[in-house]
Amino acid sequence: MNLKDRLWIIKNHIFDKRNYIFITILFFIFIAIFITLTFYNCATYISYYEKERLASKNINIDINNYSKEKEELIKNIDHVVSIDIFMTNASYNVKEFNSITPGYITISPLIDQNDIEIIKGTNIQKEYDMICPNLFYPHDAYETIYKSDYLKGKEIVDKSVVINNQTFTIVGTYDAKKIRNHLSECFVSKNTFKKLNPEKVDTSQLTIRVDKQENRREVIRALTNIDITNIDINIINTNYSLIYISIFITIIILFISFAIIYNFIKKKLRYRLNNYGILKVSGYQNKEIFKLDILENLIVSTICFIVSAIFFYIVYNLIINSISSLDYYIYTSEINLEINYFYILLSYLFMIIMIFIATKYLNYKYLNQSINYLLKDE
Amino acid sequence: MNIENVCKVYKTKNDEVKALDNVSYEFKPGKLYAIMGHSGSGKSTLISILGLIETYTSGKITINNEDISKLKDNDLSNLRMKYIGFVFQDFYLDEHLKAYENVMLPMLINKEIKREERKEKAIKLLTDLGLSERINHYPKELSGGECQRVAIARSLANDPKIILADEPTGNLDEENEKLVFETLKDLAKKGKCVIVVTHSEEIKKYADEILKITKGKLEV
Ligand SMILES: Nc1ncnc2c1ncn2[C@@H]1O[C@H](COP(=O)(O)OP(=O)(O)O)[C@@H](O)[C@H]1O
Ligand SMILES: [Mg+2]
Repeated sequence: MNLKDRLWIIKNHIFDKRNYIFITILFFIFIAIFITLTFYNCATYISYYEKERLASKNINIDINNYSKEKEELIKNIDHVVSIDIFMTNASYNVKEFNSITPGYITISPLIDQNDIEIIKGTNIQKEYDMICPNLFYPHDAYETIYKSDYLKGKEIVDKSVVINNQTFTIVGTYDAKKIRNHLSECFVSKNTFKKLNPEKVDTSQLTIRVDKQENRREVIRALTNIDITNIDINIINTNYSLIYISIFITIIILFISFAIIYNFIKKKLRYRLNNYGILKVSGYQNKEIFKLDILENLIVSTICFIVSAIFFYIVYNLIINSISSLDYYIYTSEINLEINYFYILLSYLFMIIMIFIATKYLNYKYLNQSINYLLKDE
Repeated sequence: MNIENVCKVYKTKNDEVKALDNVSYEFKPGKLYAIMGHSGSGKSTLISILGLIETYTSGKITINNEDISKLKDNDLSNLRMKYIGFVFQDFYLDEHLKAYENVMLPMLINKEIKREERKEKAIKLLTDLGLSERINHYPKELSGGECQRVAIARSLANDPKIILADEPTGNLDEENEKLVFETLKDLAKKGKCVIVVTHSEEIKKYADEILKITKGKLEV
């Protein structure tokens, strides 16, 4: 029996009353799983907020007991990427981005090219190159945020902006949320930054950039070994409780989902035992009936997945967009409320696995009974 | 089809019921056999075992000189497809399928019937049973007698050598009963081995052999 024949049989059963109930139930289960996984996504983002910021890779030291030899020693410590004079960031009004609110951006020196991942365009190559967020809001967010003022990557690449009479070119865009930057923060090269803002350079402090946040402890130990003790570091205590709660909720939801799905497939199967009995009388093998059954359930759940994903996407965005108090947190990258498509697909995968297990087990349980039992069951 | 010393014991929680007791018989092609007996005497059990839809406790069954006792479930399925057509009192038609689609259902697993031929074959079977006007009807739109004839057509889908019917006229009036018996008789005349379980005395006009079964024992 080939796929075409199977589909022919399924086509006639897919609009069975039982399937309508099954589809409705699956719809709500999908929505529930989408919500919990989106919650998990937000929880992870918030919990890792401090850890993901670029500043968490920095160790700042006082320059007092400092010498050229020590600089060499520091450079040789494992995990140290670079040493620089301490530089903070600076903000400017940029008339190219004037709209309802004045154009306004923050500029930071790019200490390590690996800090950012280029989405559109290229990384900084020339003196007056600049990199901006791929979702760019070049305004001060202390005023009302206007959604129409958001700029997308492809709209800003190659655009020129004038800062302090210097013409910069935006050569690329990066994902600001990933490193928890504000959506108005752009990068220029270290040297350009120094030239542009001599007053923002603090010569009494040095910034040591470490490759990964978790390696800072090791570097600090090495620094103490070479008598550098005036270390300024912000200790990060990631609070994982939100993540644990969301994992717990996800597991509960999956568990309940499985129980519901199992029961509905069982009901449907019991309702159709006569049909399956007659198929067996006609000579159908158990595995053939299983294939029919699983194919039907997969088709139903796929249709349901598509419908519920679209529904979720629309309703979720409607809700998020209507809560204006969230705008500021989104601007500062403190929360991330974007739908994670990987998790949406993961929901589908969970569902497929659950349906497969339930169908396989129930088919095994019922189809191995005698055919007379299948036919007599009402 | 030959059965020798077949016994069937149903085990329930508390006790055992001996539904068939050392039944032996040889069924030959081209004949219509009627199995008669009181309710609970083991008729359904016997015909289910003959139709390979119920297991038996001991004894030997051969179909086409092939011993089936050692066959696995999948091989039994193949035998059912090739050799056996089964008709039930309750028809068991698929309510979502039209009459001809119900008849096509068993053909889907038969590699010898090409896809294009299926519909044509199903329609021919239904026409032979006088249902040419009912081909596109759903079971709900058919009378009991018509449903039973659709079920008979379905049992003939893969051209089996053996036709089994367990009280096929139990839900039908006399007129339809006659029609069904005539149909079965015709099939026997065409060389098939037809075995019918029934209460109806009417069958005596049609049957070649009457088998009486009492408390699981067969009396010829
Ligand atoms: N699944 C079963 N479990 C236990 N006992 C059964 C089962 N099926 C039938 N029996 C018993 O076997 C005997 C024969 O039943 P059956 O073959 O259905 O009789 P008939 O069809 O002649 O009325 C009866 O006593 C019945 O109670
Ligand atoms: Mg009976």
